[in-house]
Amino acid sequence: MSDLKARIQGIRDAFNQALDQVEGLKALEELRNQYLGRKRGIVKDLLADLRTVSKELRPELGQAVNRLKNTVENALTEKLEALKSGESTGDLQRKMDLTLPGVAPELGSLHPLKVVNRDLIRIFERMGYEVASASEIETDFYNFEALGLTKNHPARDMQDTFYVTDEVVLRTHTSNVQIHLMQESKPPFKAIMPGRVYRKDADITHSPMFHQVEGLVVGEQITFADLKGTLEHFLKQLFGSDTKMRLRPSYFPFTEPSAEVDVSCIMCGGKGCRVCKNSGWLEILGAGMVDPVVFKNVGYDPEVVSGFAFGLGVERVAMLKYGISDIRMFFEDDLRFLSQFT
Amino acid sequence: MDFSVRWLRKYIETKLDADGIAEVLTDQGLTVDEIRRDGDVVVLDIDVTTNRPDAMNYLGLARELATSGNGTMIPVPQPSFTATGPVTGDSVAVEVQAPDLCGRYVARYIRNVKIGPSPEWMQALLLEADIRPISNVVDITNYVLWELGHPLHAFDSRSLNGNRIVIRRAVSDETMVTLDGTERKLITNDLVIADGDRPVALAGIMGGENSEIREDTTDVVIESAWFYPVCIRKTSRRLAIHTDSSHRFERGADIGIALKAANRAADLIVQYAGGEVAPEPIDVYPEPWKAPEILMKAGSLKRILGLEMEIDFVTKILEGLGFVKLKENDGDTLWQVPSNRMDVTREIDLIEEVARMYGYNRMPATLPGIKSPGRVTPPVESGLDKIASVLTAGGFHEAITYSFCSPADNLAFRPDLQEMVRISNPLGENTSVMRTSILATLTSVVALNLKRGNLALKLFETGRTYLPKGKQADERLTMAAVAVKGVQHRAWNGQEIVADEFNMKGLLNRCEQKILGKLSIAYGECDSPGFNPDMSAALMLNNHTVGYLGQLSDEVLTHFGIDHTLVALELDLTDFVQEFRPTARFRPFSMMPRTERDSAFLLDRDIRYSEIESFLKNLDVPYLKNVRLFDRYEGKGVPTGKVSIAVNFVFQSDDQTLNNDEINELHQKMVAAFIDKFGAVLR
Repeated sequence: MSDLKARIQGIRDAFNQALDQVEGLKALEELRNQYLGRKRGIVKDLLADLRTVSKELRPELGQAVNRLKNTVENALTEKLEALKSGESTGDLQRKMDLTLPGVAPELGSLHPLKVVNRDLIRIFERMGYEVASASEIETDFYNFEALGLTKNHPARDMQDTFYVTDEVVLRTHTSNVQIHLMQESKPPFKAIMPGRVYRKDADITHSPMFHQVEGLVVGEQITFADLKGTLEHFLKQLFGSDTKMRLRPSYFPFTEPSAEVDVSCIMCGGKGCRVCKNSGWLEILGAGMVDPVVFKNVGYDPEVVSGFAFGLGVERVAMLKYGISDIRMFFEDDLRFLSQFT
Repeated sequence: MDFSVRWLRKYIETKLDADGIAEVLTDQGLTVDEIRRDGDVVVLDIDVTTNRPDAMNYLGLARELATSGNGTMIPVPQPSFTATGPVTGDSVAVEVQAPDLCGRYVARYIRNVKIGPSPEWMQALLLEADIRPISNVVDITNYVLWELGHPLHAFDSRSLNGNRIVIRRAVSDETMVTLDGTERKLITNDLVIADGDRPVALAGIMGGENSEIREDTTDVVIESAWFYPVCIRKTSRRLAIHTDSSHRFERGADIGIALKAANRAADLIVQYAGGEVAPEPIDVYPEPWKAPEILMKAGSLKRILGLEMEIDFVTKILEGLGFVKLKENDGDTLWQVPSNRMDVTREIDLIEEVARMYGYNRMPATLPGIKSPGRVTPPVESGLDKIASVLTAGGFHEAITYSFCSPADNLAFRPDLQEMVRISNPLGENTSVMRTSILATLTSVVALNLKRGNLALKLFETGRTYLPKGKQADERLTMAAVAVKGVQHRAWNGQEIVADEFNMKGLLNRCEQKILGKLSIAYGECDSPGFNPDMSAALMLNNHTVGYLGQLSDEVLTHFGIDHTLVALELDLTDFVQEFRPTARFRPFSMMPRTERDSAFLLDRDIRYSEIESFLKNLDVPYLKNVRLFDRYEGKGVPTGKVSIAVNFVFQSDDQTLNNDEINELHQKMVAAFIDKFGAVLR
């Protein structure tokens, strides 16, 4: 039996030697016949001899013969192509230089904002939130009025708005989705609203178009403590379990009480650095309890239901996460930018 | 807003250092953005939100610190002057002609003032807070503004023609020169303080040059008024003048403090500029402010905040902030709002005050106890994820381009467009209309990349396009891809990555399988001017054109300044979103051996492959599992007008091994039928 094994090795060596010396298509064809000929090929003979081997050993040796056959076939094919294209195969078939560069298909990449957006959505989907959407070209009512931003409200100045007509705007936040959602459904619910928003502002940190993810939870027993717990969980999922959260009372026309939410700086961990301007904190989202005015505007009774809402900028998160300092990069779509986020 | 810590300490006795003060204020919603130190001068840059004009002064900040238990307030000295001489009304008359814009007007008259520099301690404090000292009277009005939060203005009484002060709307086309030397053209919505003839101040915003305090001024009128916020805000915005005074009036000054502020200023003027205060100040206050009363119900704090609080604690906080408890009954409390807190009108506002002073960061953190199951998200997001995964695997990079572009960019793809959604106040022509196709914005990005030498380009985007519909827009969910045609990469072993029409179609087919389930796209004649008609096809679903695939037209390339050949794809997904297949379905496969047969045919070049494919697939041949085109050739050896195609057939039974004769027979039958159908010749 070991005879056969030794024979296989011997045949392999002899073949390789013979193959090295082949210098023409004709010689190659002869070599092929010699080894793989249907009637009298060396490999064919080997297969015939297999029959003499005991049943127990036959599978193992059979496989060895098949491997030899494949090796011979591949080597012959490679040599054939090499001869055709006039190249020398050198020692390619026996000693491959795997320090040569790998050849992989060129993969594309997801846009960094989409990656972050998807991460945000997934965190909330795992917490049982649905994803809601609505128009970007929106009426004044859904973008402003229903949120308590009446025509002369000073907070309208906080958002420089693109107008289509006096009554139609490019939405300045995804809060319009909150109004549609509340009008169309009954509490309790938990939802997030990702999407494009627009403000008339353009510089290194402001883009006339950017992305927000807002969240809205409404029910009969929803409290500020629930808002805190939710955001804490979310921020730890997003930035890591060591992340600390800080709330600062603030003012938004559509929530009360309102808060600006900071996370411990993801660069320095809160010790203070250039990114957090030595404060140790990074402002990351705005949040609060839904203002009773908003509930009244959608026909809910603020004495019965309560809820919280929050919102954050996707660009802001992506800029922090990837260390991008110019927001315009996201929309120039330079290939050298995009391909970094494979 | 800059505040000097030394100045703040005049009103609060506290153990906290500047950092401590900053931390407490930040926690209470008065965020200290920056602590600036210059020698022993420490300045806090505080971001006071628009709803808190009460905290835009030193006394307000001191009240915040004291209420949260971080110090004891030091009261502002009571005025000690004695009024003498003729009554105010003998020297000046006040007439409020626009009571809808001016809720209160106090005038305090002071005679025989000596103008000079203000005392050094006052100048020093003003300078710390970055306010330029001018003269004793002017500095005192500024000082009181920062101390109490109430804006004041001082007039030289000589300049008041007719000894009159008239609060009225400006007359159309009236002009005045404000203190900054600029001539302002007024409109009838602007409120002015006028004398008998002409405006002498832009109410609540800035004084007039004609009535300013001069070195030789002897008699001054101190104005302490209350103007309606909207009016001041509109004028201030229209004229782009922003002052410490307008900042407060716009947000709501304290109407109740007007007389007190005037008296405080008068007292300081007597101390530091001499003079005699005329008795009986004028106070036009036709409708004194009625303090709202707000009921805070027993369970409300717990319901909104998720935290029980002792009534004593709540009382201490609200009283510290100036609220007056009128009643207490079984946990319910009734509160009267102080005049400096006009932002507080509802129970929720009181709850916010309590929460703020308790400290957000001390509050508990829980998760919402919603018991009902969550609703399911429509399959749109997951469909888009699948498209992205196919295209990225195919080497395409995802782009996000602006939703707006120039009208010409839209027209390049759709010259027939009648209407677009136009932005009435765009940043520029290039962003003045909403895109009607994604290629309109994606091609711009391609042009930019090519200009920068990024030639191996394959980009895609999924997003909305916007077509006018009623007053708003029809926002269509769309995917688009574009690539520079040709070999994009060649590896050292000769392996190549090519972008062309069929590469793009192949990826489209993969997307189709993943998201559209049983629906499949058909290919029709391309009628889009954006594409080269001979090198493109319309994409059809259910007999409707839903997109295009192929080479972009020369007109488009010229418009975007591109000198490469681009292959592109745009597909409107809107009507199929609901068909997005959330998961694949398992199909059993055969364990029996498969047999293949190849055939090559020569046939007319005009016969479209879709006809051939559908013919073969519909032949209803038993055991035929698959038909695949594996070669197509025209040129040398093939007669003109003909094409050679080679097709691979796979035969396989689900339950038996087929024998050769059986397969040969089936194969030959198919070949014969094919030859018959297409007039083909077997090669």
